[in-house]
Amino acid sequence: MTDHLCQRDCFTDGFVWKIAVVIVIGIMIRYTLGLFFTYPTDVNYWVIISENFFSDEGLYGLPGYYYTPVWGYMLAVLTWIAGMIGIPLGEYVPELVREGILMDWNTAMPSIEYAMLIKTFLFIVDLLIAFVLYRIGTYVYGRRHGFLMFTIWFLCPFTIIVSSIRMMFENVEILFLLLALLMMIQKRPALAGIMMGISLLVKPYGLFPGLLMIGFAYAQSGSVNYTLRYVLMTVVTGFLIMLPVIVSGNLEEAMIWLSSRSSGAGSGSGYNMTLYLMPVLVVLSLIGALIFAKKEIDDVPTLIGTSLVITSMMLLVPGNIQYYLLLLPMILLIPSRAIVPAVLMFLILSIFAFISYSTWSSYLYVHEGLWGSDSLKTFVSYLYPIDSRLAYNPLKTITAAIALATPFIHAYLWRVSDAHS
Amino acid sequence: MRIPDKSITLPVILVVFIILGAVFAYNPSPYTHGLDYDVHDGVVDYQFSSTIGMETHMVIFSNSGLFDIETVVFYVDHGYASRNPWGLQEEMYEDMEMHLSVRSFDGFIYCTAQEMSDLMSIADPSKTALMFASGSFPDLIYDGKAECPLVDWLNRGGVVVNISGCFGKYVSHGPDPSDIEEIEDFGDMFAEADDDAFMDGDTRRYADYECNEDVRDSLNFMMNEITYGVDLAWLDDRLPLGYVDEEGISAATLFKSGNGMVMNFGASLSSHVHFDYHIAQIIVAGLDYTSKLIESIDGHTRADPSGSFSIPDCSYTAYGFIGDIRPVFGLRMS
Repeated sequence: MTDHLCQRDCFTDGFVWKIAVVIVIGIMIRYTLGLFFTYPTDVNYWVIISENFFSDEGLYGLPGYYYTPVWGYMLAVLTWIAGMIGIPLGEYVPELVREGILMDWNTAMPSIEYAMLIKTFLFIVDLLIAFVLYRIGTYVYGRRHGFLMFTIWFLCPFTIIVSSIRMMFENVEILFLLLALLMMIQKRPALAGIMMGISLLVKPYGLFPGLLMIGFAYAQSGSVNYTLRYVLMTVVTGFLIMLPVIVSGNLEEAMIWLSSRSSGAGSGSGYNMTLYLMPVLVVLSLIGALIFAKKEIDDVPTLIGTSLVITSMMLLVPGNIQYYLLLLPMILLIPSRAIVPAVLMFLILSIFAFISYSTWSSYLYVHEGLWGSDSLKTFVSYLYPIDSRLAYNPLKTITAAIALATPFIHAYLWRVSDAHS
Repeated sequence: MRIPDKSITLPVILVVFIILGAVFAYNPSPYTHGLDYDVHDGVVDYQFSSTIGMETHMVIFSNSGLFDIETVVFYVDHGYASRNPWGLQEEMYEDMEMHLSVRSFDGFIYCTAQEMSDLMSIADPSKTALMFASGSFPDLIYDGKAECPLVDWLNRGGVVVNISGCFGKYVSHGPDPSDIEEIEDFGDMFAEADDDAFMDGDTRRYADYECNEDVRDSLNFMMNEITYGVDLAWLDDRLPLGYVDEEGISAATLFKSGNGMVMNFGASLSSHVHFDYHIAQIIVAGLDYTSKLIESIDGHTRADPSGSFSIPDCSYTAYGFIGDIRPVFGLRMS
């Protein structure tokens, strides 16, 4: 009954229309950018993976897919859709050949139809995250804050760039992580565990919040059984997802991305999971979980703040730019003006993310046919010197540092206002 | 306040979505493709079929008619030292198997040096390609002298596929890295060329100067690493397939050697996942060092699955495939 009343109020006070306006604006920006630009690294491998599916070689049969399988399963469905529609998948673009560049890594491009299919899926995920953020925000802080989180997330240029230009699936990991949090807030530890298990097998950067949630679950319930339900379902879900991979003997292939990132021997941009740093952060998370359990801390802002601090520490070592997206929802879940510097930093990072993709070595591809002349390409190529002059990696580190500081700024502001009142 | 139960709808939908994806990913044959053809009255009619909608390509090249590769022999012998890691070579061969199979080519076998030596004495050289990715030849097959099985093989019209190594420069006498011997005047033996015609790169090099656009555009062949490329200036009968740098170093080249053919691919083996399928494409397509593009016909499995072409009045190869960057099906018709 209360829910029905709330829904009616939402319509009468124009709230639904506000949300609708944000959605329409966010979608329009995404499709406009996404139609013109695609960053041609990694995404060409989505095409190759789709072609592997069509070759009947499965996810790991032919080389091309190096992640744990969840994103691959999603690509399998999207590939089936592409095949049923009969759209072209991609092609080589000789114009992208540059001195010193290895073929197929940088010179294969998804077709605009295929790119938009994948991007549409990522846009939907962006939107689902916005709704989950709204739900958590409304539940913990009230509807106004929920709407603010919805709006900032969905209209943040950084979020838009990652899904519409970079075409990476970071948001899928975030969606499952936030769903795990939502389920935990709703006292559904088993479902929270399932969501966490999936999130960790999309990309493992949610590991620290995942560990902290063990202590949170215990603090929430005071029950070992309750806590074990979360832990066991995380492990069981992970095992079930990996089972076909293990049975088919592809475990090594499924771990390539992870091992390259943890050994620092990857592409040169993923050192943030280096072996020396990860154990420290895992231990920190476990200590955090113990404190949560012992002191019975079951408030969401503290969980989020601690997760943000530890995850930011990982990203102080510059990683690929899309990894930083994980920090944004955590920042938004801190309910105060303390988030302003971090959000501003993300806006700055967005500008440089766009510029970075236009450099000669990581060439931003302007889809042929939709842009009649080379003027846009020329324009973005002019931006390269700006990028090279202003070092890019320090900017990422600064973003992580400000994110790390955000919970402390929040605590300080809270104390000041508390003292005044 | 308790959030209503409908909150679990999204997690449930997402889990179902993932399970559906797993079914697609592990279902043994959700997609099938085929190519039927009929030769009559100097015309070849063909029809692609597929359970999906995708681009089709029919390419017709002239060739010398001297080669018709039916078997590819992968050389693996841990009893001999190799300049490229054996593990990487085996990984490449496994991938190559799959890429060849996708193109309806199932004639591949693994051989040690001894087995290969035995096979070379009985196999039809024009139908058999010996593939080496070791960077050095076993002395049982090539000892750096003109009177050896490898040179004899080429003189008899055989095919050698050389990947990621300076062709003819290194001979392996045993399992220890110190057993590898550097040969001189090997260029003259294989192509009447200076040794410098064959690159032996210490550092990786890539060309972007010009390329064989007929091969690139009709077969989607993109290869530009010239670390182990060859200098075209030294070769008379040759077909550069990929990119060539300003000095004439070719990334991928088919050239005449004796009465046979060497297919030289100059990329580093550590990048093999980026070029395995290109090599498979060239082997199955039936090109040789005389090949020229006669016709390339594009279509779609749904919109335009069938077509025809006149049989050329020269020796030719017709190869049909579905897909672009990494073809999902291929079949050589002649």
